[in-house]
Amino acid sequence: MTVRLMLTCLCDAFYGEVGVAAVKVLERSGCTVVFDRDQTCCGQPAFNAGDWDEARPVAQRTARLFGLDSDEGDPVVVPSASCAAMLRHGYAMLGVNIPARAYELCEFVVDVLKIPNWGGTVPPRRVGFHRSCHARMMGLRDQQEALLRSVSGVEVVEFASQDQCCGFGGAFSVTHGKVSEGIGLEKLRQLERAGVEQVVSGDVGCLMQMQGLASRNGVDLTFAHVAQVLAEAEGA
Amino acid sequence: MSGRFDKFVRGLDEDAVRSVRASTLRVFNARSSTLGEVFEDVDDARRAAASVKAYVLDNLKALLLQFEENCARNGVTVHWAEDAASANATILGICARVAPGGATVVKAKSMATEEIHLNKHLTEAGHTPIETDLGEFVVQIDGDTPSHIVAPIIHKDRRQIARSFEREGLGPYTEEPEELTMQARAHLREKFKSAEVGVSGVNFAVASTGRIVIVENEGNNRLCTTAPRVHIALMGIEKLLPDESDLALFLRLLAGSATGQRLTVYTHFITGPRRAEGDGPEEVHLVLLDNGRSRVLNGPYRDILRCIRCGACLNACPVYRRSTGHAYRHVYPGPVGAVLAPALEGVKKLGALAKASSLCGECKEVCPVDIPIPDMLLRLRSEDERNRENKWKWFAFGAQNPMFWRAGVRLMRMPRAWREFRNPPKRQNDFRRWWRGRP
Amino acid sequence: MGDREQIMKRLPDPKSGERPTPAVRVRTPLENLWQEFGERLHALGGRVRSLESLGQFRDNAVFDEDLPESVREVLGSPVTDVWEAAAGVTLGDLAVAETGSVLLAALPGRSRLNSLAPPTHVVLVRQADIVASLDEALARLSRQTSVLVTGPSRTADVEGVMVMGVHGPRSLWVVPIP
Repeated sequence: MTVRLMLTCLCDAFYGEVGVAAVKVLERSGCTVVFDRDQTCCGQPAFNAGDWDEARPVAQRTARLFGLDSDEGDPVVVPSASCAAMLRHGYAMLGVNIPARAYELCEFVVDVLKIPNWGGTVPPRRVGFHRSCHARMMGLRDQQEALLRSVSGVEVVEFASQDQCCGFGGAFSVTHGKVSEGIGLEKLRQLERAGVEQVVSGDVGCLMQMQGLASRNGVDLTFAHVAQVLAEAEGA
Repeated sequence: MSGRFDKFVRGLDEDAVRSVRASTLRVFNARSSTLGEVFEDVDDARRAAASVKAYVLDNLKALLLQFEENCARNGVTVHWAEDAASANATILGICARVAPGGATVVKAKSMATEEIHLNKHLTEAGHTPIETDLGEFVVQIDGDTPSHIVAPIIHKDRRQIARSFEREGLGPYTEEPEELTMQARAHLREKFKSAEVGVSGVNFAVASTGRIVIVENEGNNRLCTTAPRVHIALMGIEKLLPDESDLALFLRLLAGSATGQRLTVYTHFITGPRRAEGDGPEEVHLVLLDNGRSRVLNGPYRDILRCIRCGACLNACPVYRRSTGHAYRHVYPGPVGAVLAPALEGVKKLGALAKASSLCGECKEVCPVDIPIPDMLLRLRSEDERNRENKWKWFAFGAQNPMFWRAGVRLMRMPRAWREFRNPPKRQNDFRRWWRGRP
Repeated sequence: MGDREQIMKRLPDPKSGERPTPAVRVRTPLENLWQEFGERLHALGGRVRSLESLGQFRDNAVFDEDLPESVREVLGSPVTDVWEAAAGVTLGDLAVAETGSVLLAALPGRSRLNSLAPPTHVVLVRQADIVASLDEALARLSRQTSVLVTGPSRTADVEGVMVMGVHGPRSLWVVPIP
């Protein structure tokens, strides 16, 4: 199956390795990955900020570029529930209507490729899984966590306030920095208390927030995108 | 680039944050365990309640007329108040007639009365309003405002309350909750006995019977609406339910969502003034408050009018928990306030509240009437002209011109506001270069 | 134009359409209603008591006129000031097993404050007058002003610490009678 990879602007700017991992996951799953170098951003930053007049043409262009302006075409896969939610929900609010062909990475692997277990091995670690707010809101049940749990060496550990926001919220993190910091630190406290070693999430925005807070505050945690763990495990 | 909201949070007392965190988490957890015990499917129950409230909003005109007719039949005098000024004038008029020298007015907790600043107007007109809900009583003697729509003093600890009580001469200094509560009880008892007027809000009003339903735990609401000669109830026009058969669902959802109880201690079903029973008010007045609600009903935020004022969204919100209610600077704080306040008073005035959110969606998940708050916050942001900043023009330009984008993305840095609290991410791998280099 | 007219003018015309009647499944007790009731009441801080326990309030209580003759004999003369009474004794119209509540209507011969002002409230409920669910109870709601009492008065306003009897009664006793 051919899939069109949406890299996301954050991976483009700061987390190229997550894009690489996503490609590896898709190729190990038997897909042919297409990457259109003219892609830029889904438009969410402007949309969330409230400048819909500027977000709309960006969304329209992105829809066209990924073939989402026609009923038939290859699925679009993105290693981010945040961008997937924008495509599935935000676009409609902007009046940009696209067919239901955009998927978050793990959702695609489990629900479309029908691969419920990833398998493979990584060096043992206690993992705290952070399900991003967008993943929750999109109704992504547990695809990310299920794939993660299936990797040998990964011990997914429960922690208090597990489903709570990390405090990123896009521009919120800079317009309401003190509040964002407080929410994020609370998250890190719970992770530490549970004895987590590595924090794994399906959204780079969340990772950037938590990682940035952890390193500023001397919190001893490592961070990885779920695609990176799966790629490392070399499963499927 | 911190606005007023964030500035307030920076100046917050750590004690207040701790108090709010403990209370909101406690009720947040109690809510889900209780509702799970009561309902086989909590989401089913929320959707059902949402559909009833949507029906009410769709048929508000007819239901209000039906309600008014039934109230009249029950001996309740119905007044209509276009806005806060009109509501205050009406209530003051009744008080002046009942006690020309100035009425003692015992008040039960009511967010609607806070909304119209009733106490200020009563005092200015020579009446004596006395809050009788323990939390609101503390707010009143401190000259403070409530920070939560259900639990007004979650931002205060026992030491602060003890000092206030001592200052007011309510008894010997004590920090014990039981003793403080009993001091308030003794003090307020005398007021119930002597007050000419009792003022309350309304939790639910039943259109088909004209019944006013009020829920509470302390008993002060019942005392306010039973002991004085005159009872005045203030109600937002959206608070209707069609039939009494709707009450059970809503009473369970309200109690579970607000405090994690199966039901509140008292559920008061008020038909009208006393009849053949030995006591009860001689006059019951109902003031129907619009104050912007009908305008909201005709706009894109009408679904916020489903709100039954349970406060669950406040308890679930990580922003509220970290910021406390006063950061919102409005009678309605938290997620519901972030929509209701700008919807009622205009985006120009209060649009900033819609940005005090990480859009995490917890509010929507706990709302007993399934209000899509995050989408409404997004829409409010899109209506606020101040959000159309230059940087988004640059962003859109870059996002539509891939050459600029590819060049610019390599130079991207997190803004200073980011780096105030967090270390920036290090750009370690270039995806595009890796992709180009593949065979 | 008066307020009423102004508001009415702004309200949109009613939409035609079915009134939703959702069927929401609630966990209600199916049997042993009095036992369920007792457990719920107990968890709320209330108590199921016997008629004998009323003796301690002789000449020190207020009570509704529709109490059974035998009970009024035990209670002796009512206290004149409801605010001074040690207990208020009333007849309840229904007990609700689901929630441990009792329903009281303000009928002729009753006083609303009897169940509210004294520190102890005693409710007599006939054995047959119990229903399983809140829905059933509300279906039988009197047209008169009524109150559904679910445990003794309480508050948690001071640091979330529970304190009983803040304004309403601190003690709630339910006495089942034949």
